[in-house]
Amino acid sequence: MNANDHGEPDHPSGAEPKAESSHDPAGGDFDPSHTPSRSIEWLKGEGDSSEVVLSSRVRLARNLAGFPFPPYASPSDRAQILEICRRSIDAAGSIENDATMRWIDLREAPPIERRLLVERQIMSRQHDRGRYANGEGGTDSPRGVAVYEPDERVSVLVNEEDHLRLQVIHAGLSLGQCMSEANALDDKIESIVDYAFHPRFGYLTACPTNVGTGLRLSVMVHLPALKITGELEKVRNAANDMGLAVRGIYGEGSQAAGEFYQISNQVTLGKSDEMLLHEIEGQVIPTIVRYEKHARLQLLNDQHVLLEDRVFRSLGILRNARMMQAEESLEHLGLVRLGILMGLVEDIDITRVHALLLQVQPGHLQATLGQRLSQAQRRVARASLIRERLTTT
Amino acid sequence: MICECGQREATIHEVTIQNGAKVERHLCEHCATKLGVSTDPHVPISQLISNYIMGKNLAVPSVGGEDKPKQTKGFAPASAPCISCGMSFKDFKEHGLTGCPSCYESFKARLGPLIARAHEGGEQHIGKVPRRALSSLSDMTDSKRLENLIGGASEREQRLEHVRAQLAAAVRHEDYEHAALLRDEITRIASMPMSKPSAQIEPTSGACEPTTTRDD
Repeated sequence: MNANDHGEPDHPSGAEPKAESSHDPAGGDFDPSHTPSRSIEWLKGEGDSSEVVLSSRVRLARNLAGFPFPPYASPSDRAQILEICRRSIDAAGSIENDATMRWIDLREAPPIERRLLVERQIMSRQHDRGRYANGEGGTDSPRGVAVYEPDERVSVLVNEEDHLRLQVIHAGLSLGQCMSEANALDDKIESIVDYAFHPRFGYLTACPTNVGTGLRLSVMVHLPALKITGELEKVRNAANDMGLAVRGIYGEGSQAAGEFYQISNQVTLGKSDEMLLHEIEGQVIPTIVRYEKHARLQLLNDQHVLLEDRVFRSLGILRNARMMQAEESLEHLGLVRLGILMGLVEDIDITRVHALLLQVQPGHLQATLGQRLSQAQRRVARASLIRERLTTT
Repeated sequence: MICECGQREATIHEVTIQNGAKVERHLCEHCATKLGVSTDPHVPISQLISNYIMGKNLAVPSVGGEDKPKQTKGFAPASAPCISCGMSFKDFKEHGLTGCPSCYESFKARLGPLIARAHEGGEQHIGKVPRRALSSLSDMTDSKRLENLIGGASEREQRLEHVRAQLAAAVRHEDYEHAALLRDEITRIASMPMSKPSAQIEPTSGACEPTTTRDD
């Protein structure tokens, strides 16, 4: 019953953090319409506490009453669940006037498109592979994702570990806004289908660690100063003591490359939606933001040279390297981001750094260049892209 | 492969668990539709759902389902599989995943402590409940379904007690913001429609929209 032992895919993970996988993730056709140039909500760098908080995310896990959960459902059951869910989402209609829903049947989507969705944090690697924790499923397993365009702020995964996973992302610290949008969509879908619900256990989910509210609140924070001052472990431990999970930018089990962390609740039963929101948005995250800002000031005032050295060393590498792994580039981009926010680096627009966080990922890199590349070719192409983006103004 | 009817090519393949045994079926479109395994785009969603459930002959554990799973309390052995999907508790322990919503009722006694441990002692759901289910069930005719959904008077009392205890703790720790949220929760639970065997339900304005304290 370990929450983590089956790769809980809450905050969908991106590229493999350590081993930039040697199997080519980007087979198939390149469709330029799905390349990374569009404005992605979580990379906007706007919103409350945006110096420290990149994005906020809310996820609701929901299941249809009377149907087996996806991992134990037969392929034909999954096909029917998929159909019912897809049409319910369709019937729920648009979430706002200018948003249109794009449905992606993952059985048919080319690998590159699935890869891009993973890197953009819309879906987990588990959903990409279609493989469940009990070994069932596979790439041809009936599953899909509904993405609300143009900003991809709202999306719904169908037949991931649960029948429906509704998620809303906003830039900055904005969990309350995410929650009310997720609830509105949830209410619309619930006006069409019956959800599995239990008087004691609340919303029922395949994994008992998600029952109750089925709500996961998650915030992506950037804590480079706490890392440098050596206080990061304290924050991590405090968060763990409060029952929160701290993960890397790539989700479950990943290293926090660039000191980007996702902090999310683990308890979903016995606390109401509002209480969880209050705890995380009202108490935990503001405290962490305060610590990080304090550490940044401390560095600026007391260890100015050290701070400058770290920032400009990273900038030098990014502007000069000829080969670069994704993880290494995140590490340096994180420090350059800090340098920009501290006023040390003046000739780079922070939005370029945010965009690069995504563009250096294997799928996006290949989509941007419009061709398949081997791992070695990707390293060269990545270094070249970074040099170009960080030197031209 | 030929369909069970022996007349057409089987294009739909289905695997189900019945009484703990795996049963495979291979059907043509025609038979599949008859048995409720169809995905014809013109069939309404509600029809798809009821086709499925009829086709499976499953006990429906659901929100407002009328055919609540039969209680096997008393004579079912501890190792009995889930009455709906046939999954055993041993299967659950292997991967940490339940098979279907009914598993929670089937394995309630053994799952309860595990769930409480995973949720830092949380044993009782508080917070949002399905909105439509509540409002459509808050009239007298559906009082049984309502009870299925949010529980009867004893569950409500249990839930209130749970929140009151949390409230007392919050006040003790002078966490007044938290206490305010808990007070809201108590109001919300108290305003939920209640299924009473004979008495009329007060048609208060809050009765149909009590699912959340959000002011949206």
